[in-house]
Amino acid sequence: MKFEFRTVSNIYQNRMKKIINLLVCLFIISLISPQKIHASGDDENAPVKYTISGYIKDGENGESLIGATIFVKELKVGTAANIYGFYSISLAPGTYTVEYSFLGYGKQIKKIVLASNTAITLELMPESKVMDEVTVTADRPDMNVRKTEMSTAKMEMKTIKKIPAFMGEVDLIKAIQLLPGVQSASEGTSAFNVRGGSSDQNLILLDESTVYNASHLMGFFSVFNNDAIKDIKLYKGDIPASNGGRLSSLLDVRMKDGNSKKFSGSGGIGTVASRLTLEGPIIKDRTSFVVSGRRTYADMFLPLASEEALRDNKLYFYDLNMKVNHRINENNRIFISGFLGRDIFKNDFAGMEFGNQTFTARWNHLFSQKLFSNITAVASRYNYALTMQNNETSSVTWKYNMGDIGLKGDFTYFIIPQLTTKFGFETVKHTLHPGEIVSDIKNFITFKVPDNYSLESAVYITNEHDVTPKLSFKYGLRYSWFNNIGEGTVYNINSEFETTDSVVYAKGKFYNRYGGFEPRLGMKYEFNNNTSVKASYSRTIQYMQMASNGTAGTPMDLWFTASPNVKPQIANQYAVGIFRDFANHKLQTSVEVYYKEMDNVIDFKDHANLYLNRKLEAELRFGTGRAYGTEVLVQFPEGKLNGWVSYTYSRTERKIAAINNGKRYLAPYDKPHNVNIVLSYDLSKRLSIGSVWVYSTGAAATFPSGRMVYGNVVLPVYTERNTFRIANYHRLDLSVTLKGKEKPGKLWQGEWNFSLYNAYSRKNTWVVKFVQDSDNPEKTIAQKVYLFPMIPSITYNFKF
Amino acid sequence: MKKYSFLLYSASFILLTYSCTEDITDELASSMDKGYPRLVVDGSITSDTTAHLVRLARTTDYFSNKPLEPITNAKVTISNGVVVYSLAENPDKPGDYYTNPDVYGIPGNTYTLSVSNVDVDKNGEFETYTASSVMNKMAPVDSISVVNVHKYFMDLYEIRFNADEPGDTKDFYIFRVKKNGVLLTDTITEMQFTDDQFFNGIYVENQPVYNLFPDKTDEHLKINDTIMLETCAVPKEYYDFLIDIMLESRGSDPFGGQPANVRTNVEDKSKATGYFLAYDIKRNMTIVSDTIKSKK
Repeated sequence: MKFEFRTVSNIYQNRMKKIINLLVCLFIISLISPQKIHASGDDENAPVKYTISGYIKDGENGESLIGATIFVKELKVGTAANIYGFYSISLAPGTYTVEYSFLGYGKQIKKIVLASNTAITLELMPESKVMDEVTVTADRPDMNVRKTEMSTAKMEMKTIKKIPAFMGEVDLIKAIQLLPGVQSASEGTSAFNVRGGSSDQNLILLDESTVYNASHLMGFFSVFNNDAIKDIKLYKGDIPASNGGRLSSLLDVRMKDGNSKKFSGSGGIGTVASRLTLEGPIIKDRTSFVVSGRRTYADMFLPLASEEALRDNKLYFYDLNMKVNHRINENNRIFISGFLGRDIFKNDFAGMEFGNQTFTARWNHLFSQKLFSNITAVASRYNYALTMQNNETSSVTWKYNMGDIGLKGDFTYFIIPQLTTKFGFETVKHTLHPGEIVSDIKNFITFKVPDNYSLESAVYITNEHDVTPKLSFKYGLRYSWFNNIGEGTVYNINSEFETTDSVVYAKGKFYNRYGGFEPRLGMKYEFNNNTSVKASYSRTIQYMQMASNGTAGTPMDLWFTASPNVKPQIANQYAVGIFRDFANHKLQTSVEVYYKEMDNVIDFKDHANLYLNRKLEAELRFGTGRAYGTEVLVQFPEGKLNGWVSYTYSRTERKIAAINNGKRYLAPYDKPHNVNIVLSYDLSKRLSIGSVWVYSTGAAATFPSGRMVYGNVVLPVYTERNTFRIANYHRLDLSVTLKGKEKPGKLWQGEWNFSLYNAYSRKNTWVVKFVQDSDNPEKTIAQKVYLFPMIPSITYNFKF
Repeated sequence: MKKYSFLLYSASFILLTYSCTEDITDELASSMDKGYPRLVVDGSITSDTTAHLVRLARTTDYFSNKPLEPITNAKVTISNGVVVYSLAENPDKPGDYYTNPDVYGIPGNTYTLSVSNVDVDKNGEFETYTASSVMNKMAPVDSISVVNVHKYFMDLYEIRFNADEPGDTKDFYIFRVKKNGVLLTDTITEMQFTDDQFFNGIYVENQPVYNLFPDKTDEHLKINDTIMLETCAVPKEYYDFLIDIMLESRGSDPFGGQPANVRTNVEDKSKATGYFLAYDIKRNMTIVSDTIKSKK
């Protein structure tokens, strides 16, 4: 099948035909499969089936257990709870032994006499609370081998908490960066690259609302407060058809729902920040809330600094997560959640403020025991403002603001245990205010880059289909489309990348359209309980991206959308992998190989002027890219020794006619070899130690090949882009966690965490600068700039 | 203009607080790519009646740590399309070529530099290089003043100006300062420059255009010092060139863009670098009085 991008008018019919063809194909596949999909009594030949459905929750706090598994022993079929903890399985009448389990929780086995539709909502108790340890460890379901999806990583908050934390602040983005195939964009930053994609190709969702900038304090901390987070899952490829809009990855972060059993709290006091989370029932087992806040106080010590440059500064961030959920009845439940994060930096003559806000309202509705639905309304905003004093009485302010407002619907139809269909839609309106300069200077002319409006929409359908107990398929089709909406200004750009004239479109006019199919295919074949092979193909389309030619994240994000001059970026990713477990699933391994080709890849011309530029599009250059690599992962998911060891080989290249004389060049984040060793060990019930060792090849860099002199300044002359590398990066972090004594009836539980970042104090190159020697202007020197020597920190965490 | 200061300052704040540097010249010097020699042009023609200088040299290894090798015996001319001025090499300083002292440029004209009879890449064949620049008209500046302010955590002097900015053109300005007749901006990175984005067509009043830092000995002011501000109109391409210089001279950082060659108006661009500039100058003077110290 050939996919093309053209405006809708001329090929609309053709495209519609394609959709219909493909959908028909899909359904034929599911109809001719050996399993009958009819479960209702309409068809007289079809056997009668009944449904067992309900929610699986944590017995301690009532939180839903995402991904908990249900396994019917007699039939050897199973299913998993969705992100709301809901499960549904339809079986012929009979007596079944049904096993409910979840990693780290004691499993429950129920004998069910199925003679009618049955609702079973049940609670599993965390491992530590279960007396009979034998039940917990035996025969654990193995998702590494069994699940059809690949290239994903689900991280438990408790795993993340064991990883040594930078400045004592446990950070899920920093944990994600330790996974194979994921690399930190630069030391200390929250920006990350997944399988050779740039950092704006990651879709970061917090309760389904897009987080556009996940960084606090130049990225040294992420916006996610781990106390408020329940579950995170990273898709490095094989992104489900329900999501799209980014080429490389989906990071799906879910907030806690709030303890529905009892009022409780948790928090921590650390070297740079303190946290407090409160949660509890408003109406027991029906309505609960969670509120979580965090603030840094590093700047409180600044007045003590000896340098005046530091003393008068304000520099802090805070964030606040809130969520309320209410169960109206068995079939209806609503969730409302919000996030507010803000960074503030201020002194006598300049100030900067930035942050994200997100809002999500969700309604879970069960049309029947087999048809689960969720409707979500989302809103998201990211903005920043920089202010600079001009003279005594006036200042200049630069403002940026972007926002989304959208609606999503997701439906899951649990047809038979072997076949689940998901379908849905999403539509989001993007509003960008790319930049405005205002001032109280007399006669100052306000400068504004025109606002940009667009609509991004998609529909999808996907089947998860176990054809035989060993062979499963996951196939989905997403169709996404994008509209630019007036009021808008479009510059016409000639072949020399010069703007010739411009066209202004009226408010509300849909003036440009792109669209395309995004097939997502996956298959798994299980050789036995311990070994499987998987393969996947996914096509992703990205309609909006960030104008940033730096490698480290800054708060000064500038997003821009597809337009008549900017085609959407497209990626096709192919991956295969082998998954093998040893020692009764206590040692899980995988090897994945991927190849990704990218089209309409965007880079920026040399010394591009990205900010406050009405003609930004003239600074863009388009070409192709490719990335490929191998990821090897060995995990120890349970037991006293916990963690993983991974090795990644990855390459990423671009070819853009107007850059590097049209020759293929390495992306700045091409770092071929990467090793992560993340291990923690429980010495006793109270004492555990953790360590992280990271190694990666130094990033590709452009070094000068010669020098020139102009205006008495020595300047570098370059020959080719990114042909050198900075020094290899490696670092060891260590931590010790000491828990307070546990006594029955003791409500307060405290723990001390001591962390050491960069334990052998390696001076890792952050950047290499080529500058004139300050004493001898004739002399040029290369300087490596490094950020963090050894940084110890201490944090006290508590819960009650 | 200010937008770049914004960027620079905010991005470097954390850096300044946390980063450390270490010299790695020796580690890198041996593995560096040597590239190939290119012509470097540093020359201009102004509205002043004077001998105008064009300096020609050859690029060299990045860590060579010595002056560029001058290009000698070149045939150098500047033409306004009608008249062709020949430049003569200074026998005392090879590579420096001057016009006759009676030459002056006229705003509105386009000036083309031609360099021939040179073999920059040393392949035994002579090459010819050309560069063109339009001389934009500089509108009069009414007056200037010097004010003492506290900014960037220090006391400094601001030179402010009052001028009627022409509204019908998109203008780009560079500012140079002379104290008691001595140019304070002898290196290009010390020069201030701006476009008229925020001032186009308005009367600009008391606008700071230049900072003098008293901790630098040559920028420290005494009563009765004479301050001269030279305001020059330059083409947009030159303004972009200055931004490139600013980015490249301070070394790259992960917040900024990819390192790249500064742009040039010398053709052939793959074999040459530098800039030939034509510009119009307006001068204003003020005498430092004792009242500036009291202003905060």
